[in-house]
Amino acid sequence: MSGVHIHDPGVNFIARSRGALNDDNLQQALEKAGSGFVHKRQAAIERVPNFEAMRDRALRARQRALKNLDVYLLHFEKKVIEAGGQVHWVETPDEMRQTVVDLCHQYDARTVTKGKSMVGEEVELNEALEEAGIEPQETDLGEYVIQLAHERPSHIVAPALHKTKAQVQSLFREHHNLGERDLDEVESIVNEARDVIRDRFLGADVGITGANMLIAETGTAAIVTNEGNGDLTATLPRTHIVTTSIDKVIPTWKDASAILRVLARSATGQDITTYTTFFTGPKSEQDEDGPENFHIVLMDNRRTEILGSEYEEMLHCIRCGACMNHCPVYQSVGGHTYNSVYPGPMGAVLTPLLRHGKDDYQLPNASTFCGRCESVCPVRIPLPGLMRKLRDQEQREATLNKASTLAVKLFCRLSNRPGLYRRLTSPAVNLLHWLSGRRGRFRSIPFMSGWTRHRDFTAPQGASFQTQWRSRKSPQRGGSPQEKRSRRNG
Amino acid sequence: MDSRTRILERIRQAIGSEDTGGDIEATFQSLCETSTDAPAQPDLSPEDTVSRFIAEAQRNGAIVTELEDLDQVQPWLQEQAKALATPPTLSLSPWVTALERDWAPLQVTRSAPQPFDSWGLVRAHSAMAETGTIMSLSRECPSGLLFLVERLVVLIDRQDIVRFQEDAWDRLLDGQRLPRTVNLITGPSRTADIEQQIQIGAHGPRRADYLIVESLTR
Repeated sequence: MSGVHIHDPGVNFIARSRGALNDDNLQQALEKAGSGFVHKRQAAIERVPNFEAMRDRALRARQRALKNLDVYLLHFEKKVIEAGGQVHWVETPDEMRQTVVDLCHQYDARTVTKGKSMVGEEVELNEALEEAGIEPQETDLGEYVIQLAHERPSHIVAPALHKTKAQVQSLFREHHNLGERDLDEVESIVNEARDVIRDRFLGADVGITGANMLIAETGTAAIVTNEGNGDLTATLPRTHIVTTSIDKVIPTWKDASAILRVLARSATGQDITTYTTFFTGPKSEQDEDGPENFHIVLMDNRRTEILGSEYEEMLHCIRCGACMNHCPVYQSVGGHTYNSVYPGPMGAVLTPLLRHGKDDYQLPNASTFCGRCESVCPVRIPLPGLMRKLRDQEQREATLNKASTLAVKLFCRLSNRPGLYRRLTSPAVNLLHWLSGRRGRFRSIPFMSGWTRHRDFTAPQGASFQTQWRSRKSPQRGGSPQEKRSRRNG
Repeated sequence: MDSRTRILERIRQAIGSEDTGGDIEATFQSLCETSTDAPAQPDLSPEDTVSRFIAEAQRNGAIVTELEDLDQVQPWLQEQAKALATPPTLSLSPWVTALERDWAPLQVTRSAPQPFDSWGLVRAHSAMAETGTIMSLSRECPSGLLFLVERLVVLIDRQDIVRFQEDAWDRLLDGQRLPRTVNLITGPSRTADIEQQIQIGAHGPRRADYLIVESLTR
């Protein structure tokens, strides 16, 4: 299977947004997905009387985990080893890829089944496996669809959210031997995938999953799914590898409950996903089934830079996707526009911090700061605040020579000189007022088509505020205290 | 210096802690003791445990039936199979096998469940009322069986239904070695990956039956 089509990083966010807005299939898919998640979440949180208390409890679990992260990771490692598993600490995506490929070689793996893993996506694991001659087979329906399309996920919970049913049908026609079977209904598409992927579960040498949580108390990795693919991936092959990151650890099983109670409600509007599964070590003599080998690959990839910084709260994220489901920008341009496996508001903060790409610092600007992301985040991450800090950092560090920065500097100087400001702006205001004629608006302005293509630009309606203030104020200057009070209150 | 040492060093620098070189078990236990935090659970009184379990399981797509004793299980299975053109094969968990009961006319198989007309009959270790969830342990039931059958029938002893996840953890973390896999299952397998339409029966069972039995003691 050939590699993934990566969006050209040379094209910036604005250009990608334009493409996304003109993509009829994407707009159709976004429209269908749009309010579904939002309404289901709302219904789910209304079914419990104390969702706000659940959010607070989940946040405290995440805060406690980070406060003593070294202790929890070491205890987690100790318990994994006691249960017969191994923990591999890796610093970079390269090291993660190499470690997983080496493990696959160690077990003579030719085929690998994969459950959904955002860390796996973050390090582009499939490409590394393919290059090493190992066939990665995605088993989550959404991941399977985008693997057929050679694309990246566009949503952290629903990876193929950008695909319409018709596009999935056409992909299956291209890649499956369908014969006379039709795929008109969603049911027939799901059944088709179920049949094809089932044989893969039974034949794979290694299963790779992610982890929603790592429980320090017992050295346990937990996954939450609805399809059951993650469980078959983790259970049937002889070897189970978990690709995860250091920020996933939580202290105890009770903390796991705290996270679980807000995760599915925020993500898909379920009280709990169909399957929540806890893996501790490989199969032992007392177990009826399970893999013989169990490996946890624990990655940093700049999370230790975020820890203890002004962005630390981003590490509380439990990857529910609620922020992108409620984001007007994400809902307009979709996930691929962010050019990152982490899209939407959480991605706009996380991507620049994890990747430090030149283009990545545009992402925090992709927000209207409406605040919905923060209001729905189950662990109360102040996403607009973090984006504002990143914007500030970008202005200070990344784009000192940008025209926009020069313009802001010029404005700052000008506004510090009120006399000069008035002398320059008053004629400009009068000129614009005259140019706009009776309409009082401009239909188009040179170099400002980004605005005027969609709406008129309002022209100054006469004298500036300061001029009007002076002309109205002058005759009334002085007067009795009573007159002054009446003017103020008036 | 290896990756592990470097990562731990960076973490300690970021959070302002030091490697005391002490016993990690003792450090972990002392942290757990000093930072107890009461759970925030859904509203649920002890008297409502079973009725809430039934209501939540049904809302999540499970078919719930209440039976008086084990003797009623085989007739129930027979009744369910009657309408089917092809009689299903039955995969049993070790606990059910050890009952040494006759499940005819259903045919019991020891081979891997087939994609179609395969039923699984297992016993839940515990069940949680708050979400209508059952818990199965790989030391009692092969985890694969729970996912490979087309229809999963779970026997639940009424006494095994607890209110919250934390109650189930208390039963699980009883000092025994943890099983390789702890499965929590809430209804049938599903996906919403195609245009967000919920479709029952993704990779796991298309139907989940919960049989609540007054007492499962033999």
